[in-house]
Amino acid sequence: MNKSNVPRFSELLDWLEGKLPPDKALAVAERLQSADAATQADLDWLRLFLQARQSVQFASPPPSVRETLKQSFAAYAEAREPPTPFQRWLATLTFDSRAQPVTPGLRSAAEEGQQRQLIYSTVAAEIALNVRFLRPDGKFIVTGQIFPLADTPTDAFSIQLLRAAGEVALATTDELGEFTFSDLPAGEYHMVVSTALYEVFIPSVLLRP
Amino acid sequence: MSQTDRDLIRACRSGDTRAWERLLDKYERLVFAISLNYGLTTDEAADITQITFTILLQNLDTLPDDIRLSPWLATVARRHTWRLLAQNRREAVNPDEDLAGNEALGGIVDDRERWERAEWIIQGLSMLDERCRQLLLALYFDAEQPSYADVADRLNMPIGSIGPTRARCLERMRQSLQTVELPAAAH
Repeated sequence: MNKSNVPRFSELLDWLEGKLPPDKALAVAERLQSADAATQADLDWLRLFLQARQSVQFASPPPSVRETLKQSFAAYAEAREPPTPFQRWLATLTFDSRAQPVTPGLRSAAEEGQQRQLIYSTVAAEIALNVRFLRPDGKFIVTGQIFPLADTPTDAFSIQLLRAAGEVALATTDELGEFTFSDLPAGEYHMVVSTALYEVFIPSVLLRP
Repeated sequence: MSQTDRDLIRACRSGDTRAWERLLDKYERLVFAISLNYGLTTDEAADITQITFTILLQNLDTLPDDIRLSPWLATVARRHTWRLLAQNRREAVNPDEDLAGNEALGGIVDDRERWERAEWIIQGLSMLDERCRQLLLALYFDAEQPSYADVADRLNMPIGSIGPTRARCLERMRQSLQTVELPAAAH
């Protein structure tokens, strides 16, 4: 049989699916009478496909499958994120209540045994300290609160109080980000506020009556 | 743009969520179809689909870059489908009953040809590029039997190219399955 006279694959498909006009369908049928083995194999294959597809089901899984798999991938991707480099920040004193103008006739906070408020700022967190002088025993109590600017949980901080080269006390924040150091003698202190991701250094907290 | 399995795997390893979704777009229907055509319920087939892709995720870092995902996923899905079928069969067969008359067992034997045909078609479709696969799925496997106009609209193709493209895609599928044994129904 002349090669050019062999029905093409697309013609076989159209013929099997009844998409050819009657005259062309008849012509294909006639040409198939003398078709070679390869054409006959194509025809058999197409018949099998068209028969098999009737009993095969294809559907998309319920949307909940996709949702669950997206969550699983998010967990996978998160676990692969490189750890954030640990960062250190030097805090800047941005507010000192003692530095504010005093209303004439009133005495200073320390003299009154009242609080002196200090606010330190960094790009990571703000730290508010309340310093109170307890007159009878000459000691100070420092309470503080940390306001993280990112999503750091407020109870995730530890605060190290240092004097000269040594650690004086260690505290951790509660769920409100609050902490307390008590029974502190007068003097100059340093403070290191740290989380797993960063550390804030407060260079000088001067406690004096 | 069509991405190869290698591209998708590499992008997924770098945490690219869109690549994961592309991978699911490409293979979730094929994986789901394996369990479904073995006679599992929709819920069971959904579970197997989820298990299969979860196993893929667990192995993503250690898979060879040049792995062909389709047969890998099909093997995992088939293995878990068989396991569930065996479990269902154990629960369905009452040892006091005559095995020859047991419908659960008989049904599985009778379905063998259907499984073979389904696997053959699933394998062939998985070897195609996405455009061809979507076209053939729409034309031959969509229960709603959409018209050429609907398919053209859905796949953003000129309506006049649907017929010739479907023939080219089927011819490509035929060539891809050249080395695969024909299912029993063909003999």
